[in-house]
Amino acid sequence: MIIVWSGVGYFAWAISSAEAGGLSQIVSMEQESAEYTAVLRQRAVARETKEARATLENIADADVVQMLETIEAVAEETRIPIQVGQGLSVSTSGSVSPVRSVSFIVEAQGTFAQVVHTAALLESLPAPASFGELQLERLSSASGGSGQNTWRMVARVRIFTTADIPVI
Amino acid sequence: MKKWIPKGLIRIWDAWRYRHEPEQLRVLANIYWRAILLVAAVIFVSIASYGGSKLLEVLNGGKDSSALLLSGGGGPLLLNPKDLQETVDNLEARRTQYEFLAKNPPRIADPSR
Repeated sequence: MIIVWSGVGYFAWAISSAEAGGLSQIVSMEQESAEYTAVLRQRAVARETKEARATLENIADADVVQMLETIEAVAEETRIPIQVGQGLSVSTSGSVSPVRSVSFIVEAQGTFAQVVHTAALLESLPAPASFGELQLERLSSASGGSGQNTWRMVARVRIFTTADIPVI
Repeated sequence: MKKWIPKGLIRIWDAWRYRHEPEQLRVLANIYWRAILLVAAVIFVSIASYGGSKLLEVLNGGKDSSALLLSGGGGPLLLNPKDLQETVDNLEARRTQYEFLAKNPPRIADPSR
């Protein structure tokens, strides 16, 4: 009698374990299928956006030297000297994000048209940047200006980058 | 005192006391057989109930897990092509604006004059 009941118990246990094994196998297969589909989607998106990502990487991966060259290119366009007084590197959104930014204090001196032209170009730099404070000051002859129409501009430009720049 | 004890128990007790007599031994064997049958019936009912409840649990749980998996496979992508293209377009627009301003400086009169 005990043997018979032992057999019944073993039979029930065997059915239960087989059912559990089959269920877990189905679950793992469905998980694998979902992961495979997600990987395929990501690959398709990566293939589709390859060109755009390369363009963005070229623009956004500028180091400090390239940023300075971008700002100095404005001086070549406006033909007035530009001085970059100070640069401050900060992390934008925590340590997780790879985006960093560098703030520059830019000073320029020239005629009003040249100074305004400089400010306009700094505002639309061909880089991921934001144009912050702008101060315009008319220089008198006593304060070092060469004439009554000399103006000085002080602006703060913040350029974003994904390059590995040490954060202060 | 004996009045409150069930007759069946008294019979079992008497059969146990006189178990050396074949007739009482037969009674004991009969009781033993019925007890085994009762235990077997209890075990059978318990197993059937437990099995039924487990079967229902598996049937309900199976539906839930498959639904979870189907919904879990379509999560949001980390890379959004639309946002990426929009960002690239904005940067291209900045470049175009820069080149336009480089050739066409803004004409604003000097306020000091």
